Amino acid sequence: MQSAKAGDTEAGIGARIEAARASAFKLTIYHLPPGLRTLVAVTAAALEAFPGVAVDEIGDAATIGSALDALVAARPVPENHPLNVRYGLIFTDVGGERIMRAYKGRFASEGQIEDTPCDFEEPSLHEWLIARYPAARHG
Amino acid sequence: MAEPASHPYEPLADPPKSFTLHEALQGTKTADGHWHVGKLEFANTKEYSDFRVGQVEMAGTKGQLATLYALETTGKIPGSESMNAAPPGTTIDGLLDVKDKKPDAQGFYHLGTLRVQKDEFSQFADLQKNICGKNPEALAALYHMEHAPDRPVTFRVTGDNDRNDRYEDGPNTIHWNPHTSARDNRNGARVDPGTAALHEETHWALRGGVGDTLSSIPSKEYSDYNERAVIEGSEARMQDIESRSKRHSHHGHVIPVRELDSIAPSVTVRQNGTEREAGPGFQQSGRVIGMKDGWVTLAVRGDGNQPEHRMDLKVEQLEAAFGHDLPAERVLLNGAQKHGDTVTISTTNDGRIVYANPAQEKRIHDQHQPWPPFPKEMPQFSGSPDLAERPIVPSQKADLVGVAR
Repeated sequence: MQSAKAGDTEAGIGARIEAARASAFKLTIYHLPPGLRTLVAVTAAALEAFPGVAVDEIGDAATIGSALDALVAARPVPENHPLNVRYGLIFTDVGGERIMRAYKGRFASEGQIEDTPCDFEEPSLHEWLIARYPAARHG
Repeated sequence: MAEPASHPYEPLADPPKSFTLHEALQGTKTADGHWHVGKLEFANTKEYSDFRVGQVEMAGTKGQLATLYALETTGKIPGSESMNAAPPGTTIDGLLDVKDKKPDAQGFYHLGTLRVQKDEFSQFADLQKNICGKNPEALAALYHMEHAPDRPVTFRVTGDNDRNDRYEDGPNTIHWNPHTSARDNRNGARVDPGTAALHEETHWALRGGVGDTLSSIPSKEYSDYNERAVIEGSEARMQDIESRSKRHSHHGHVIPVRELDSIAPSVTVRQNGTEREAGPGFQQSGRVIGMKDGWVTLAVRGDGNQPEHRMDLKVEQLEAAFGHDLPAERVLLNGAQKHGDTVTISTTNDGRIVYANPAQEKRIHDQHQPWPPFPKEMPQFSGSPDLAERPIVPSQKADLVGVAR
């Protein structure tokens, strides 16, 4: 799957999510510790190698599906602002090929799909992540 | 006998009983789409909504209401002011004196409540001598770390692969890389390792309820109000001491110092068809009237010997430092905001390049305005040498400021 470009439309992002729903097999969540302050904002590209990043590998379809449901309900709309990344949700197929990458910042609306910064219109993904990682509520 | 505990900042005043969380979240929308919550301002409804969600999540946190009350009634960001000074007579040699010369079982030296790895102590001491010698606020930060009232703080010196300096409040640890600088994506401002260390030490000083509440308030260019307090506070004051441009954003690059230092700073002046290196100690103010191919064209007010004229400047360090993904003219355009703004481009005596638009910096600092987004298309204009021969139109003359040295 090709990376999203800055000019991706809302519909394009929706199609990407639906494609992930059809073929996702594994979800890996990278998340930074709460209460982390950095000299410069953390980018999506830097997240996976960031010192201290925690990795949560999920193989069961129900959890992957609920993550995608939360992402769909969040209704991402392309936005022009860079993100200070706190979470990365990497969907991969059986062959380990990356199907979709979604990122979240500290705040409910802040997100990114592939390389396209997004505003999430609803806090559903934020709430899903807070429910999974309660310590992140304060940080 | 152990020295008494110290506090970096005065405690915030208790808000009145009527100031509840419900009261603290009430905003009003203005015609331009901004939201105002007292003196707190949010650029759009989404940012205001993020603020509200964040505060509900933080509900009950110690210091939350006091922090919101201070922000909403004074407009000043707690923690952006200078830390309480170290007591009179405090010296850097005294603060770096390891009383117990033997490290503990984990290899840490203890300086009061501050822990530093034995193998990293020499770099840590060099850093502190450097920044404390320049800036009493850095001496205050070191003093407070050694006299923490709550729990020990650890300062780690990291390696080449650990580039983004940080403070983690869980383990109460600062991670600092002595070999990396940060660059603001928007205006090219450079934050060197010493200033970066003070940035992280200030995050430490802001730990706890006030700092957590600030972190839960969005401020898009700065990520959140905790970063904004530090970038506009201790970091900006250190940048003044270092004669460097200030950051107005938390977004940027981390670049090894050796890569930046290996770039020979270069300002080339092109005037009347001839080019020359500006060299150290150069300063030029003028109104931006063109940018093309790395050349910035300024309209420069004349002095007694020279009439108003145009001058083309090429600032090559910026282009190289950004690896061509953020060319100089784009950096300068955002520094200047738009054609017609006045900028000053200068080199220090050791060859570093500083450029600024003082009026713009002041406006942003006073009003906490975010930088405008990059224009999608760079405006096209002519920066060719023959501009020098063209007359300046009367409407441009009125704005010309600055004198060539």
